[in-house]
Amino acid sequence: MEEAKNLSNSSQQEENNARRGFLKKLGLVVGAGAAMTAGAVYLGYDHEQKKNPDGKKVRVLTADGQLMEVSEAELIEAANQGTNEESELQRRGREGLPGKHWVMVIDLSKCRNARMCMAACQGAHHLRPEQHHINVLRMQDAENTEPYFMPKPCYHCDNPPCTKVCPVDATFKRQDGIVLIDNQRCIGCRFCIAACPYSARVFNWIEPLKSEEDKDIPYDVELNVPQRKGTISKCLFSADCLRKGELPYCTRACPNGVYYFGDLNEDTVTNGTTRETVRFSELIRKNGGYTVLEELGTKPQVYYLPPKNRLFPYQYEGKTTIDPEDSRVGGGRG
Amino acid sequence: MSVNKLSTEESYKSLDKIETDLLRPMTHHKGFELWILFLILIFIVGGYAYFIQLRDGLGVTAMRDYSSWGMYIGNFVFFVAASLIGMFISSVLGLLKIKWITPITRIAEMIALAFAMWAGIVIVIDMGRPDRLLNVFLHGRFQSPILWDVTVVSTYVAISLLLLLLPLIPDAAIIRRRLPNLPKWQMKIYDLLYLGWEARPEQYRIIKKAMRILAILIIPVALAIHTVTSWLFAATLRAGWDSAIFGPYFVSGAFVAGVAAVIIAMYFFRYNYKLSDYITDFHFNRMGQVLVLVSAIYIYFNLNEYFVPAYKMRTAEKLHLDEMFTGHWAILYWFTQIACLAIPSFLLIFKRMRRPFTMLWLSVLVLIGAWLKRFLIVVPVQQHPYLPIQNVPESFHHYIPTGIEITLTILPFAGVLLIITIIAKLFPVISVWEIAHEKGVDESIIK
Amino acid sequence: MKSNLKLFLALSLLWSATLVMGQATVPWQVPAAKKSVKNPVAVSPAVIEKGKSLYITHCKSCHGDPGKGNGLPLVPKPTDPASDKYQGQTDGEMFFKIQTGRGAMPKFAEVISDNDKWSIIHFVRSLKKKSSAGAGEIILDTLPADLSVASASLSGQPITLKLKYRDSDTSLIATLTIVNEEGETVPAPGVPVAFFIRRYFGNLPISEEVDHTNQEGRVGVSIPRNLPGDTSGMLHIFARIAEPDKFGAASDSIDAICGKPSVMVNITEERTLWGRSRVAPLYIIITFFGALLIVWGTMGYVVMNVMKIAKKEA
Repeated sequence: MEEAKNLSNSSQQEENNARRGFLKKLGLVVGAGAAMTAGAVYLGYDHEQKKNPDGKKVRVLTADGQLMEVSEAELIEAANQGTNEESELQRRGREGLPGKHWVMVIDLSKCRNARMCMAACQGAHHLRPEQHHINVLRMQDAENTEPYFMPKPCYHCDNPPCTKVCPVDATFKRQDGIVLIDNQRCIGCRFCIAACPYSARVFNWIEPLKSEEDKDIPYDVELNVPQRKGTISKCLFSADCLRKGELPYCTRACPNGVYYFGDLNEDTVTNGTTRETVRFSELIRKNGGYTVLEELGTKPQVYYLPPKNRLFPYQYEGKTTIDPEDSRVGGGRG
Repeated sequence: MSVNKLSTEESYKSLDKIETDLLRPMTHHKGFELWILFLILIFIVGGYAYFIQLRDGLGVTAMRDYSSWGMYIGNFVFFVAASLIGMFISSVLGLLKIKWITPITRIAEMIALAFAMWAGIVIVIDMGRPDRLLNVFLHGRFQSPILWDVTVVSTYVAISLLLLLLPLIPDAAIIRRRLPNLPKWQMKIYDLLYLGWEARPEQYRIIKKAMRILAILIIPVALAIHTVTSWLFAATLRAGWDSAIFGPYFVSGAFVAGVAAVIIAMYFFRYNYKLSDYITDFHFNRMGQVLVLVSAIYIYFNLNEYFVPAYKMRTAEKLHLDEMFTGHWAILYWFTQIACLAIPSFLLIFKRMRRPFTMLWLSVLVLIGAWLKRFLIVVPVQQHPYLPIQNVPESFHHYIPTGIEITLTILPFAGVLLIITIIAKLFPVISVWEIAHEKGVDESIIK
Repeated sequence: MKSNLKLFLALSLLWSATLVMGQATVPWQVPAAKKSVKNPVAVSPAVIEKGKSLYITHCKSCHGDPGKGNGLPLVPKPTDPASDKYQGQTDGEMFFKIQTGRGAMPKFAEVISDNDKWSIIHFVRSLKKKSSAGAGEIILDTLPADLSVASASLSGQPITLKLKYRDSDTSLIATLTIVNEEGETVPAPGVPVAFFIRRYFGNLPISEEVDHTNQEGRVGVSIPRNLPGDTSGMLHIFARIAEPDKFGAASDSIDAICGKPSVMVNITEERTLWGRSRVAPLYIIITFFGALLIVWGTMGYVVMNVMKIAKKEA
């Protein structure tokens, strides 16, 4: 009984996903022309549709050249999507996923500076090579301590200093804990950059990398694409992926099992490489997890496991020590 | 500074002389057109620079992610600081019933208004998306110091404007009588402004009461603008900005900048407008003393701001302070602190240094230092975040202002000078009626 | 966008590969004395299971899924442990290489205990048997005798897993049955069963050990008391056969109220002075507008007063 329920739930979800995917493709083909005709059709069919949800079937060509039969209703939905998609993305993006409290755990003992996280992140968010939503830093806490690599995303603080100072609510904390940025609202004052003690924010000083290609894409606040000149960007915990039940881009891209990601409310995190799912509290307890600069009172939601029992000794550009000029270390652990 | 009442005949004679002296620059100003042309030229160059910045983005400046506030913000802080002087001279000293300020109040208020107005524009120049300025009003968050800053700066501009305009009412009446041949549009301004001034006792009562209320009102607002401006920095967690004394530290520094600016303006008007009978050595002497006083207070705050953290040398602060004291910024830092603050204020202790010419140059030095100090407060702190700066191009590690940035920093100064020039062209730079009043001229004839 | 992402990944892979390129690809010589060391740990399904989880934690990130050849494209490429090349080594050779490491292969001497290393080697060996022989046949002879008899009879029959929750001691019991040749439903003993809690990104194992069904075909696990469930304390539980390719796939899931009820606080809802919420506290708003009203009101009052100057004398 229970199983059946679960099954039907999941199959329904799959169906939804498939349909959404299809509608996206459809949108590409149907385009603006359909938007207008569908608008007219909508007026006529609105009444009938209420009576008969299945409606009339129409044959259309999808982006990959397949002929598909869809109901009139879906066609209209797809056409309306063009105009409403952005506001819908905004609405759900600002609302967040209820009941969730995302948390990331970064195991420093496994990081060997492969930088696949950085590459995946920059690819997903259309960033320039010097724009880091996540940045693997070379750290050394004190003179005689061992250096280590420290991937640094945004910490999505529960007491975020950046959202405090934003004058227009362009950067905000969602109910699921993600600190997002709305680049359609941002005025480019850069107060949030000044306020962030972790240097987690980047600015589009010049035209973004893909502004030409992206100019017709509806803005997704959860992906911050298209990026816009004169506005802020930052790590978003891949909010767009989380909505789909996928782990963040960086977490999935890591070849070394550095990242765990999950929901604090479930007390569970999943490793992006091995897909091993463990209890967050136990992982932290057993490994002495900590947060960076917690004395600032920001309550970071990214935890680190200390770099002990390392598989790979620290090595960067052939050197096993940090150039003091290069790091100008403030001390990652306070 | 006699307060003896003059006889009616003497009154007319005295008033006539005052009017002639003070109104003369409005009609006789050699090189005025050339000067305006020069300022307009700067505007054209600056406008072009701003166009490039709008077109290509803030990337045309040297600002990058790790020094995301640069010269513009330093400039903004300087402008807000300089604007505080209006409140200091006409309000604080005025309410203390210090008499010698009469001939310099309008100069101070002109400076205040011009700098305050341009402070708002400077901050727009710094914005990545100036086209979205309205968002501040549409989506404003009351928790953000920027909203407070926008509010208090605009309020301050309004009060400063009123404080400038009110004493112009009797002067407008005088101009209408004395200079009826001015262009029509100009006369219209005086017609609007003089409000039917007839020097009646109750008119005096109304205007004096109004000025007193504004003088009191402006004190908290002025303190607020610079305190809130200091909070833009102090409200963050960055070592070097995270300071509890930033408010008073900024306010005391503002007085130094403002007094120096007024001294420079005094010197200029005294010689160019031939006002040496009104702006006398005595006034310079007094302003010199004021500069010593405010500098001493400022030095005291500097001591607290730099040497208390330096005694402890906490990790993050040490990085910043080392760069300031002995590192990358050391030359600029010590030049600012010693050559532009300590030495001028020390020299001005001596009476023989408090002469117009020496004071002019010392004030120029102080003003330059005041600007550099804002730069040093804004920029170096950002280059020492808690976590190291890595994996970014070399240019991200440094901040060397670009030509466009420098042009757009100079532009607002031209703007300030333009506003002052226009006000000084339309109105006497010294309040005629107040001077006449002070010289004992019969009140009822000042109209 | 996607292809660009792939390009990025490919490039960075290449780049990370060059990092370790410096290491020569000369054959890895193992001293004869080390070569002949025998695996001192006795084999058992539990040991193999443990070796597998250790492999996932420590080895998989480079060596990939055994038999799939999906290890990292480093140079030299990490050998697939299921490959003939790898399996051609002695246990001692494997142990030595894990122990000492070379180039991109880290040194595990102090990271993993010796016993654990041997467990990994047992797991790796089990792969060989699996791939060369048919389903589950050979591995069964490593099982204890009594279980192997029972398990052997399982082959080919449809297997059913039924999950039950017992409230009295908050435990889960899975009952496994098969239909034998006579068409009777009989218990399936010796089958490893894994229990999970369904979570957002994956299944959280309830216990670290994987237990096998007893002679009655039952296996149980107790649910830790402090696992957070949804707001009512509901947990979505699910159990499946741990080695489906050997015993056949079967799973069952139930929902039970046995977790800690979560208190979901929406931290963005309350009015806060600072960062979390859009809405400012009332006192800030009152102070802000109050001050604004006083100042601008006074200014308005002053202006209105000054306008009286214009009034002609009565």
